[in-house]
Formats: sequence, structure tokens, C-alpha cells
Amino acid sequence: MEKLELTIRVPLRSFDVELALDVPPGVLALVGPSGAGKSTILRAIAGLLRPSDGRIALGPAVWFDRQRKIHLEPERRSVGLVFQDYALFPHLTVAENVAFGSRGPIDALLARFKIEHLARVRPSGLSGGERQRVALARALARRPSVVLLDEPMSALDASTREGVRGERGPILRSLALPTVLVSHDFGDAAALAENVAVIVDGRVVQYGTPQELVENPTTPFVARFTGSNLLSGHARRIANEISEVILESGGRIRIAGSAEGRVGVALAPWDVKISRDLSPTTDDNQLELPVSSIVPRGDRSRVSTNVLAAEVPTRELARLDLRSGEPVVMAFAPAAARLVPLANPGSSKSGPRATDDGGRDRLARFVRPRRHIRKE
Amino acid sequence: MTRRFNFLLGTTLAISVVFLGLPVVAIFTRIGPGELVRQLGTDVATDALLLSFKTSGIALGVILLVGTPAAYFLATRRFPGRNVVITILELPLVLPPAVAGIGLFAALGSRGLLGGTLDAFGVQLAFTQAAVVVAVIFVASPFYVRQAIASFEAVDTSLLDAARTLGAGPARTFFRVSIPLAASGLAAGATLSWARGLGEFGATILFAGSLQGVTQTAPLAIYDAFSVDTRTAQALAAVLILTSLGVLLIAKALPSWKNSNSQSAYRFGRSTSS
Repeated sequence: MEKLELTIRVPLRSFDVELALDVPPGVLALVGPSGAGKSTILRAIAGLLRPSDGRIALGPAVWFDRQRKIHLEPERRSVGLVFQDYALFPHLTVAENVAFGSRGPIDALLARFKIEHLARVRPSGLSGGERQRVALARALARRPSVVLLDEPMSALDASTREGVRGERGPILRSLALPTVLVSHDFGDAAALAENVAVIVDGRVVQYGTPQELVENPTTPFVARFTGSNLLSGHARRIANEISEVILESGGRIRIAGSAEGRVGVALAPWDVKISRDLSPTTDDNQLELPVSSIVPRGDRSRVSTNVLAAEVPTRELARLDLRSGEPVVMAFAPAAARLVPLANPGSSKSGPRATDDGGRDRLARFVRPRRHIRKE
Repeated sequence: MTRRFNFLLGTTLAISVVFLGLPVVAIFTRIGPGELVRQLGTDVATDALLLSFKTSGIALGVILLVGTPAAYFLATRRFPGRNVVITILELPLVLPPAVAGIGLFAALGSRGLLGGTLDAFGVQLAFTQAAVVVAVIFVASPFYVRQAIASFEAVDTSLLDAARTLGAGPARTFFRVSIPLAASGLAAGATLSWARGLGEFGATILFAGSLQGVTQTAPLAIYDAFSVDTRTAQALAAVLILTSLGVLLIAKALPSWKNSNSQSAYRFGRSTSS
């Protein structure tokens, strides 16, 4: 199986998209806020826009190389691109849409995506989930070597989304093709992708498995993006591998690790326990805060204060009988909190990895080697 | 207050309908069906009508063939001077037809700008049937090109991108996606343009003259007959009215695809008044 190698620079209005990524067969998610340049990257891979510099290659096939003046037109690149709004041809039926890029029969594909019964229907007669299946089938009908998905979930409503996540993941993984999907939602990315690259202002700020990003966010952005709480304060080392942080929101906590100066502390909501009263006999950090909102989501509920959010079993919540505005004690173990460097200008500039290909040294101009900024 | 205002609105509408509809009705009240058929049997009338349909038909063919790709180019690309190019293409819309005729004569007449060049190839354009076609193309093409640009622009660019990533080259994308999705708008533009060409008078009479059976189109024949025999003029006018009405109804009935250019009917309605 071929690997997609990508080293590109694309100037946008307020920043340049600059990144170097190797995408082996498997699903890579590019996540980040809207306007971070994620869709631009997909368009560059598909050949719909020409980067100002860099190289895009799939194994031995070079799709773009600025120095060698190579730029293959989109129709000559073996990509299947699923557009954000699916871009189904409104004047063609489902079968005609799927057959548009196909060289062979499409019956098996229609069956695989459970859209045979819709073969003669036009896109205007389809539901959101059906449109997405047709778009995916159409993209795969060309037997692409690379699959690209632009916000595949954003056009779906919340109720179908959950089910679709579960269905799509196995399909995408079974393709065993380099697959890049773009999402502004970490949940979608975590459900569908094996690896995640967090993109902010056109650069990769962190790369890892969804699990790694949740457990070890290296920037405040990643911490918030993955759903963690982020506290900030001033740290002082008080013992070996134990530091005390005076929070800017008030109160002090102890955390594992050595830190001095201004730091961020990331804390997963499910590591936060709640109770009515302060416990005198615990080593946990405890903060007493007024509840700002309680949002039940199935068997888990999210209890928020303006400093911390906790995710707790709904049953436990019922037992506590909490109400908005009432104080609640939020507690967490020092080991559950992770230090995140704050105001570290270098961290947002580093690319995800150095290219180990010596022949591409010219790219070092705009690709910096990965920095190890994790602190354990 | 509301009632009085509604009355005011209704009155202006009634005035408009009567003013615009009355001349059309008047022609049919003064010429019965029998008289209509008899008058149309004359050589002058048949020659003029056949010539009109032939020349406007050929002109429409040329406009579609050249105007469609040109409009697509303008709709899908941005380049410096694009607005200047579009303005040049739209100029005949606002040019008095007589000025267009003089311009064509100055450019393509035997002593015109390109007259010598055409002469060298043995082509004499002025006062021939080809001159009628040229005059019609000149005057009628902006009606099509304007609408075609708008129709192509209304096609979602992500559909064109999708076609490209599905392996279709630019030409296949044009024929399989752009043309079908712009089709209703293109057809509306074509009918409008053809109707304008059918009624062409000023440029034709100056550049092609008014020779019965050679360059005398229906509007020219109406003008000629008007000073001699008003009944022939009215019969011809009646035919042109029926044709125009048919064209208008066809253009309004054209289906439009959802999501891509559903506003084409509206655009059509707006451009008739401009």
C-alpha cells in the first residue's frame, strides 16, 4: 500500500498553511477551528488548488512538485473526495451520480452502501444520511488510492450523527487507503480516525492518537478542543515531582510534576468527582464552586461551574440533588491533572514531524522538526 | 388608509395592463382570421416571414455556438479586464439599433474597416442576406450571453470541482455538468435573444437594406407595407405578436433545477424589462 507524502505551503489571507505530513494507509483526521486551513489542505491534495511550494506524492507517483514544475490536474489524481455539502449532481439520479466517475458496474457499491433502492431517485429526494452514503459511494466508485472527506458529518443532524459515526468508521478503515478527513469536531475525529493532527492557523500543533491528545494535550488549545478543563495559574515546586498552583480563578491545587511560573492545567471532565461537602480526609484537590449548568446526556451528565466541568453518572447526580446556583465541591487527584505550557510562542509553530527523506532538505525552509514539549 | 393605498396600487396596475395590452388587442380587432390568412398569402408577406425565420434561426445558431463557450469562460474565470470585456459584449443592448447598423457598415461595408480584407476573399457583405444575419447577431447576442453568464455563475462551483475529482476533464465537466445545470437559463436566454433578433429593424435596414426576398425581414416588410397597404402590415404584425407570445410562454414554462439555477425564471422576468 502506498503512503501519501505531503509537504505544502499555501498562502491564505491572514496566514500560510504550512505542513509536512505522511499519511500511511489508515484514517488521519485534521481537526481544528473553522478557518484553520483544513479544507485548503484537502483541496491541495485533490489538485483543486495549487500550493505555492512543496510536494505531494503517492508512493512513486508525484502529483505536485513545485521545483520540478509538476501539477497534475484533479482528474489525473487518484483521489475520492467527499465534499462538505456532498456536491451531488442535482440533475442526475443516485445511480448516475455514483456511475459518474466509475469505469465498471456500480451495483455492488450501491448494495454496500444500502442505496440500491434509491438508484433512480434524484438528490433532492434524499435525506442527509442518504446523501452522505451516495457521496461516499460516488467517491469510491473511481477506485481511488487516496480518500478525502471534508467535514463528512457537519451536514447531519445530531441524532443521525451518532449512528453514522459508528457505521462509517469500519468502512473507512476497511478500505486500507490513505484517508484524510477534516473535522472541526473532536468527537467525530476520535470516532473515525486512528490518528489526529490538530491544525491551528495552518500549522499542525499536535499529532497523535485521539487517546494521546486527550491524555497529553501539549497546548491550551488542544486541551480545550479535546474537551478538557483548562485552568491557569502560577506554579511553584514544593517537593520532588509535586507542584502547587495558585489558580487565577482563585484557590490553590497540587499537581504531579515540576513546574515554575505561569502554567496551564488540563483536566478531563470525567476525572472530576463531585460531592456536596468538603472532605477533610482526602489527598485530592477540592474546589467549592457554584453550579452554572447541569446538562444530562444519557447515562452521563455534565455539571459545569465557571471554572471546571465534571462528567458524572446521571444516577449519582440524582442522588446529590444539585441545582443551578448552589455550591458543589469538585475534587480531583493531583495525578489526574496535566501540565500544559502556556504562552509558549514556539509551540504553535512546530510541524508534526521532520521529514526523514534526505532528498527533501529544501523543505526544511518551512518545516521545523518536531519539538518535544511534553512534560511528564 | 390601507384600502385607499391598495386602490392606488390597483389603479396603476390597471393603467399599465391596458396601456401595454391595448395595441396588441387593437391589431387583432381590426383584422379577422380570414383576412389574416388572405394577407399572409401574398408574396411580400410569405417572403418576409420565411426570410425572418431563416435569418434569425441562423443567427441564433451562431450565437449559441460562439456565445455559450464565451459566456462559460467569463462565468468561471476571473482575470483583469473581465468587466471591460463584459461591457463590450453588453454594449449592443444600449446602442440604438440604427447606430449599430452604421457601425456594422463602417466595419464590414465594402469601404469599411475590414471591407478590403473581406473583398480580397471575394466576400461582399453589405446588402446581402448574410448582412441580415450579421446585424441580427450583433443586436441579439447580448441577450443570450448575459443570461448565459448568469446561468453558468449560478452553478455551484463545488459541483464542477466534484466532476473534476471524479475523473472528468474540463470539457467533460462542461458538457456533463455545467450545460445541463445551466440548461433552463440558457434556453431562456436563447428564446429572448431569438425574439429580439426576429424583431430586428434598425441595424438591418441600414446594413442590409430592404430588398423583398433577399434582405426584407418581417419588420422591414411591415414598415414598407404600412405606407401602401396597412392590412398587410397588420397581418404581419399579428404573426409576429403570436410568435413573440409563444416565445414568452415557452421561456416562462422552462423547468429549472433546484439548487443550481432556480432563479433563472426570475432573471428572465427581470431582463425583459431592461
